Order: sequence, then C-alpha cells, then structure tokens
Amino acid sequence: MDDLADSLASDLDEAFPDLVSSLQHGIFSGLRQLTGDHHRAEDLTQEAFIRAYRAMRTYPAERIRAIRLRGWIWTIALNVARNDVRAESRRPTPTRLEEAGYLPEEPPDSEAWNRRWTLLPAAQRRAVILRHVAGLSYQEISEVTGRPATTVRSDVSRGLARLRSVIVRETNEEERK
Amino acid sequence: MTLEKELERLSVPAPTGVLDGVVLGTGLSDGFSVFESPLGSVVVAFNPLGVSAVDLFTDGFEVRFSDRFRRRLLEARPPRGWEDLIIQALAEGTPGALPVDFRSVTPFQRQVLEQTASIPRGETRSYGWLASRAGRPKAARAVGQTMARNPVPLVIPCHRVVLSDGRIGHYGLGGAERKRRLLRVEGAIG
Repeated sequence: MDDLADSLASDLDEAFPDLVSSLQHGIFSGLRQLTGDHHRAEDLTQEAFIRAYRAMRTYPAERIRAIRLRGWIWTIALNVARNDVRAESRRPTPTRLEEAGYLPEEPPDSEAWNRRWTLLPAAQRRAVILRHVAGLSYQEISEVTGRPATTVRSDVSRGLARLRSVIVRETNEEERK
Repeated sequence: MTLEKELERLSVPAPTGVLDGVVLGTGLSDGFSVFESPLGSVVVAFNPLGVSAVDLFTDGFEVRFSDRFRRRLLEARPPRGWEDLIIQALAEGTPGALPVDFRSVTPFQRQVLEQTASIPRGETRSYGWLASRAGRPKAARAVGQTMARNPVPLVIPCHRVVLSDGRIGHYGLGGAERKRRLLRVEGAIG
C-alpha cells in the first residue's frame, strides 16, 4: 500500500486504476453487506473512487504519499453511503458487460445476511462488516468511524456474539419445522 | 464453519464494471459509441467534459485516439441526454447544445473552432474570414492548421471552410472528395 501511495504521488493518472483494482473488492463487499443491495453497492463503490480521484487531484504529492489508502477510501465510501449519493448524469457508462449477458456474482446466503444485519445495532453492524468482510484492522476502523479502537473492539465482539445467537435461533427454528 | 470464516465468504469480487465505470467517471478513459453520419459510420468519443473526438469508424481508430489524446477508449453509453444531441449535431453539422471538450487545442484554436461552429449549413467561409473573426486577420495559415486539428469534425463543421479562391482545400476526415460530398449534400456547392 505504501508503494501504491508513492506511485499515486508521482503519477496519479497512471497509478489510479491500480488503486481501484487493489481496493475495489473489499470496498464493494463491505458496501454490499452494509446496503443489502448489489447495484447500490456497485454505484457507491464507483462513486467513492471517483471522489477519491478528484480529491487527490487537488493534493500536493507529499499529501498523497502520506495517505493511508484503505482507511481513507473507506471514509469516503461511508460518507457516500450515508448521504445516499446518486451518480451525476454527466457520466459515460460502460456497455461491454451488459452486452455480454454478464451476471453479477452474489455473495452466499444473501437473504439470510440481509436479515441478520438488521438485527444488529448500527455501530456493531458496521464494525463487524469492516473487520470481517472488508478486512480492516481495528486501528483502521477506529480512524474511519471516529470511535476509539477499544470501543471498536467491543463493537466487533458484541456484534459477533449477537450474530451467533441469531444464527442459533435460526437453526432451532429450522429444526422445529 | 466458524462465524468469522462465514463472514469472510461474504467478501466477493467487485463487479467487473466498477473499474471501467471509475475510469470513465474520472475521465481517465473516454467512452465511445458508433453513430451514423452523412459520411457513414463514425466513432464519437466523450468524457464528463464533453464530446472529445469524432473519427471515421475504420481500423485503428482506438490507436489514433490514444496517440493524439493520450487516453484510452472504452465502449460506453454517452451521458444521459447526449445521445440525441450527438445524433442531431452530426446530422446538422453544428454542436448545438452538445458540450465539446476543447482541452486538446490551444485557446486560439478553440476560438477559431467556436467561430467555425457558427457557419450556417449550406454556406462556406474562407480561412481569412475565420482568421479575422478570431481577431488575427493575418493568421489564415494558423487557421488552416486549426482546421486540421479539429478534434470533432462534422460536429464543428470545418468542412465549410474553403480557400478564398474557391478551391475546396484539405479535409482531415477522409480527404477533399468527402469534403466536396458533404458540401454538395448541404447545398453549399453545385
């Protein structure tokens, strides 16, 4: 990631697609769980990177070099998701994939997870998704959410505990049927 | 399976369109679509600033584009509302409400091209006339070079600019014969 920040600082346009390639899967997967909506997550992921690019264009090289990329992009992504930003109309959209009859890859048990997430308080849901789906460290989550790292730790462990009990309850209900 | 492992499985590849959407949305690559024009099929390239290039839809248009503009091309749909504007601009030979990305030309060339856009269909103007309109009456040669550099022929009707002695002059989009054909279709010459 540090190498990437260096490359972005020396040639933003050349290196930016590499940044997208290396972070898009984590950002998309996290947003997919946070929003419960595949297309929404796709739009928001794009929007977050486009905003990141525009911001970087205004930064001097030293500032870009100092950015901790994953946390920084996630801060933008959560903002975009929170404000439910819609894409501007003045934007070309790719056609290749539609024509190829492309089907998106859905994560497993989508419906079950969409339901489970609604049973968690917002802070726990966000912390668990950032930690265990998007793969952020506690420190990164703390920077992204503005909550102390110790609080993030307890959000994650409480969230996991809650999910376990939700899943146990689901299993019991299944067995009763 | 542990809960943590199950959560890891929710990490999936981003849809393939995300990267393309980002490079198009940032303007790192331009989008292109093929349209019909009085000269047959043409490639129209666009980015969030406007239409950036018009070229004949022939082999190598992607290379010609990246050689000149230093950006890549991706097949794409134009921004909402632009498709009709492009069709209209190509048919009438004037940009109308369609935005044009002039970053590939100098400020003087831009001024000349904007004057060119005002030449009505069915009429022609000389290089000297354009030079005067752009505030540099002696710059007919620079005007000629500007026409050769017009990134969006047909949309900006450089084919309506001819030599003051009536000769037809050069045409970047396929040579003088096509220029003559266009002017004939528009009723500017017999």
